Amino acid sequence: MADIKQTPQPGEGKAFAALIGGGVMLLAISLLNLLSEISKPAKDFLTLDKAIGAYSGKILFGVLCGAIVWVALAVIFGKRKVNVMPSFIFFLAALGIATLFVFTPFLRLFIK
Amino acid sequence: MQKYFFRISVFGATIAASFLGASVAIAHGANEATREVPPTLYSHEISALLHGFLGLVLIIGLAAVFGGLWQMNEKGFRWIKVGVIALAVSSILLWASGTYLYSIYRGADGVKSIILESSRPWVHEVMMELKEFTGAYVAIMLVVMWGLVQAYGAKIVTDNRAKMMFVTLLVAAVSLTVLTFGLGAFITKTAPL
Repeated sequence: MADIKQTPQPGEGKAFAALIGGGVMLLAISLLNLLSEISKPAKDFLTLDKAIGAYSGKILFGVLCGAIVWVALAVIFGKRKVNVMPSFIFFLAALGIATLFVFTPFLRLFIK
Repeated sequence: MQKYFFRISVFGATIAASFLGASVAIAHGANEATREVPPTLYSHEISALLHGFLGLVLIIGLAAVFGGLWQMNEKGFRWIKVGVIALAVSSILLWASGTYLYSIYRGADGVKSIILESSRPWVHEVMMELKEFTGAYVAIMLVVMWGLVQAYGAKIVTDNRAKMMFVTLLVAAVSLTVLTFGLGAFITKTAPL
């Protein structure tokens, strides 16, 4: 595809922040899922609501982690010229890893 | 703008009428045929129906946003700008309604225990466990796509890099949405809520 390797543009810092923040959300949710499967105390800690179990904590804390990173990066890099491609690749990798870590047959490799 | 408002209104009215029609059919059927059944049974089915309808609207909306990108002009960008916000909000509502239904699914003598005791426990252990999260991932992806639209503005239809990133995320969002929809349909077929 032509012209993907472009020089960074002002304002791409916001895109950078969105991609990194979103990627961190996905990774955090999936890592908390793995943690709750291998550790009973972690599962109990993540159970904020008994009706939906540990899912409540996994989503809340995962989204919060990513949101904090997103806001912090948007403040720091918002108006700067940033090379956005590494953050895009990070987001796609995070999506792949996050999907693997919620797929039970793959998780069972880590659970005794 | 009036032309788009009319088309969107017709589309919305069609979806709403279909949903209301299906809900009335469920409630009437439950009333006539199953008088002993607690009222919550068919209200859960109506909630599940709403959840399924929202999923369908999301898939159609994603196709509409792709159409906006295809146009590669100012009109296309308006479709994308409005569409991405609407999709992000819809996906969050979809996730929220799904979480409510999940609490019913997990309840005492709920569908989860029925599936786990059946000959196909993997329907919960693999499919439902995956569906819980892919639905949330779609909402996160759409919020990130909204972030990209905010960052690039109208350049999202002209800048090759921005367009490539947006299309890639859009295709991934469609794929995950269809996967989640399919998992939900199979789980419901195995053991309706």
